[in-house]
Amino acid sequence: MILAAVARHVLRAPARWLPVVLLVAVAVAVYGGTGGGLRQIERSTDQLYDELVLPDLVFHVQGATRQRVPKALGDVRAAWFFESQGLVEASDGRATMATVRSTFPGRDPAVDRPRLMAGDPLAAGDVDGVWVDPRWAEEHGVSIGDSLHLELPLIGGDVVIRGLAVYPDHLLTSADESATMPVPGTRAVITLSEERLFRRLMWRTPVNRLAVKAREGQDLDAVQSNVSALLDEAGFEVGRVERGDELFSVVCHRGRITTMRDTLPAMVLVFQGLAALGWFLALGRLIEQWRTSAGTLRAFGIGTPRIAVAWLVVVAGLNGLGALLGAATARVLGSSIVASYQQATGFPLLLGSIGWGPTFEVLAFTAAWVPFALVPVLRTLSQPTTALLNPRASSVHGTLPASSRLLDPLPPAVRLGLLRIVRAPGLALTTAVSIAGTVGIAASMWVFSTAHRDNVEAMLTARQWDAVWVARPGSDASDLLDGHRWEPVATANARLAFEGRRFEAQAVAYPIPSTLQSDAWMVEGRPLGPNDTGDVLVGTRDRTAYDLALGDELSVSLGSAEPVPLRIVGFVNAFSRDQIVVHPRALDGVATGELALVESDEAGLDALARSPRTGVLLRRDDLARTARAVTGNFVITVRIYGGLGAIAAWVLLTSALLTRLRDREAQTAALSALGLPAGFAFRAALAEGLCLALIAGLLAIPLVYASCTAFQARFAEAGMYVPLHHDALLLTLCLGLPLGVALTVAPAILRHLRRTPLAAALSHRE
Amino acid sequence: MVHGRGLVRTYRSGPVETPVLQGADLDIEAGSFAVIVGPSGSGKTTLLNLIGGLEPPDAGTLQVAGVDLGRADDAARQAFRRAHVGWVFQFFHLLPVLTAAENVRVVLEGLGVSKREARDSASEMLARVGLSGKEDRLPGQLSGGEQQRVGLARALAKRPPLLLADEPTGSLDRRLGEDIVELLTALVAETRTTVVTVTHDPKVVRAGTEVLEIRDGRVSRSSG
Repeated sequence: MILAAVARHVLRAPARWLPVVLLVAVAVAVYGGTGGGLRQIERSTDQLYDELVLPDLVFHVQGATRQRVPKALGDVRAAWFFESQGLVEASDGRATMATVRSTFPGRDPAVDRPRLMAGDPLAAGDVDGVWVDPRWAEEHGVSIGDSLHLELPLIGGDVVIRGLAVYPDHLLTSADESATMPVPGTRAVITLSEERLFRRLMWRTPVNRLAVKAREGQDLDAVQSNVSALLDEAGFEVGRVERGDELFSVVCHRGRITTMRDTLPAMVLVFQGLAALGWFLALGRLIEQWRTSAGTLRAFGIGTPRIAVAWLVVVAGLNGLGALLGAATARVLGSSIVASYQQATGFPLLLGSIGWGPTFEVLAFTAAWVPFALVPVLRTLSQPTTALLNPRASSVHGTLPASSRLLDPLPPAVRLGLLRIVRAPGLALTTAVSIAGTVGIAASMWVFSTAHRDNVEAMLTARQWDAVWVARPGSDASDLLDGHRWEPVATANARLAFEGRRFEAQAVAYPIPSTLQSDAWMVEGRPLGPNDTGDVLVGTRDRTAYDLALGDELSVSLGSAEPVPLRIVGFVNAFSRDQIVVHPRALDGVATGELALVESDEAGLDALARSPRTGVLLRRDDLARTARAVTGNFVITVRIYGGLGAIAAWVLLTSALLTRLRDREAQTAALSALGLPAGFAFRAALAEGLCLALIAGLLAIPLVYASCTAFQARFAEAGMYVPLHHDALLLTLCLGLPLGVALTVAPAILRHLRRTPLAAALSHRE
Repeated sequence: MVHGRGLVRTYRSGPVETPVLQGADLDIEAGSFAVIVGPSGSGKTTLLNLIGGLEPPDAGTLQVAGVDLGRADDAARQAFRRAHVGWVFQFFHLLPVLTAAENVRVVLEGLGVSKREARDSASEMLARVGLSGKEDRLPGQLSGGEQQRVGLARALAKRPPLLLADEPTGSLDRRLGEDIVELLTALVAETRTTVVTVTHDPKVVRAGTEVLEIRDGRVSRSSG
């Protein structure tokens, strides 16, 4: 009976309970949508095609039974080895990036064979054994028999060095022909047994290198074409292609967005917090409305526990309603995340539709908030019955702020609207803070995603070349140079020291002046000039990681040369991490030769790609396509969150304004009874709403700055520096969004004022 | 001042109809102090609302201060209230964020009176209701009787020819209620304002020059 009475009471005031339902819905939508979408992606990538077919090779992969994968892949004669990038930690605790390769010991490739310099072969089934590069072992003070820790996705763990081996394909000649240098980034080549690699699915690692060798008598072009099609079908982006007479290898990766994965849970938590705050405020208003009913029930002898239980049941019902609504929205949100992921990566998702989300999780989510309703419930019910039955005392007491006088020149309606905030700042501020939170989320998502997109475009613009082609040892590239415009690019490994810290980087030298660079490349400082042999440009990631500044001196050791001090004169924005730019003269005698193809046509690029000579070809278009796809995926997903933030802000602001309006029905009606036009009350409410929105917007500005800076830091950790130069956009969003929302409420305010009968409103006590 | 014939007002809530006024007739002369009495639910406040132009009658004719409220639309009734009516409410309905003076000023300024004139009028009216020195207090800092005095000052500040009061002493204790009745009587005599008030308070009834009793939806004139 009590429950029915409370429920009827609730249903008759939809403006009070709707915000409670909607805020639960937003929270569930974010939680379920994100969880559902990402879970869908995760589960799908765990599964592979039931069957992959190539004309010259057939293998079966069952996602559900990973154990079958090694055998299946092992049966593929053409499969050669797989590589992944990862962190390797020696027993002394020092860590370095390494290329981890798994070979097929039973095969005997004609080229690219790892040459065992010392130690034992990797026996079949030796899960823990590895080979390492002798130079890497020397640098890190490890030898055969020592253990290492591999910090790698899925295949990581402790391993033991069985032997020292070098790889011809990782050794490039330098200008000093007597020396050989590992390809930057692959100095530490660690060889694992296939057993270890195939304990896990290689497809789950973000970057893989697949080497394929044709059978005798087979056309390598046809094999390569088939493999490319296979990779494409499996949703891999194909990057670098290396081609020999008998084999080719491709670097392929899925469009995995590490930063998004790391950031999304935090964003979801922030959303939950704000939605919970809004829910709590809306619930407080709802329960306040029930206080006189509670007084009446208690006056008639009904106990507080029964009233509290009835209220909590109703709150649980409202939460359940919100959860259902949220689950439906989550389905849409999750689908859009999956769709954007598919669009960006092309990776097919094999599971069925997301469905209505995990029922248990939604129920748990719904139930988890209900106990918090006890706070306003008990706060209200702890009052004496007489207090519950009496009208609420005016909440406005105390001395008047002097600033009120400043409002005197304003029109009376506007002044009234503003005084409602100035003289009752507590409630206004609480409301504004919750609105600022949601506005902040919406604006920061938009600002940062815009900055990220612009930054990627700037970086792509900075790439003036059409492609980079790297000559392999012994190849004669002279005939490839004809008809195209090339510029030399020199690269070498560099060891750097700064304030006692040491790190490694790839040193690059471009011609000066060079058409390979553009102003968009520079983040800070100036480019290198013809005489700047003692200067260096540093990537922005290293600036963040090592706390570098313009003017700092780095001790740089290039190749086997003695360390020289180089002064930092600029920071550059680069896709690659651990990269420094030096004067060409600095690399004299230690650099490998690379050529950047500055201008060519599509036919020329295709000819280069099909060249029988071994080389590395990276096309700018491929890079741009990959970068834009991944960026687009991020931007879309982030903006979906921004949109949800805007919706939550709208719900909160609308709810706050209409509730405040409803609370003052009698005051408004009294003014109307005294002859003031309806426009007066409307202008006052609008002024109050705009002022509240303005406060929320101003509060949101530092929040957006902080949020964008946090994003920036996360991206810097992932190797990309995103400059934030979007102050105008930030201000426009922070102020424009809440003010726009306030204006959209104007018709509802007008409608409310017109439809509220004066006589009925005047009969209310306040 | 007020002439009504055959006034009918029925409230509807879904299928339920509640007839309140069923052919009420009344006449109130200008300058009089009319008191409407009757049992709870008899339609006293409804009649006051019709006279004040807050709602229209369903049937009948109603002329107040020369305005035909039986035919007036919303805009016309609002213009009527603006020109002719001041209201005093049982629950005061002051704006809690405005001071006593500002509560009076906001009405005047909202009706187009200049800021200076509104400020002067507000001070004058608050002084007349005995609130000198308390102009800058918020309603929450005033007693119930003082709040009702602010309500009275607000109603009379625009110098309306017709003052309507709905249970003006209903929320006050006996002593404060007597103060308000005395104040109301004095101000009306001074300004020659016509007063129509709904009340259960015998003191207010005794102060009235005309007493209209509502019974079964009709008005009967008793004593003056």
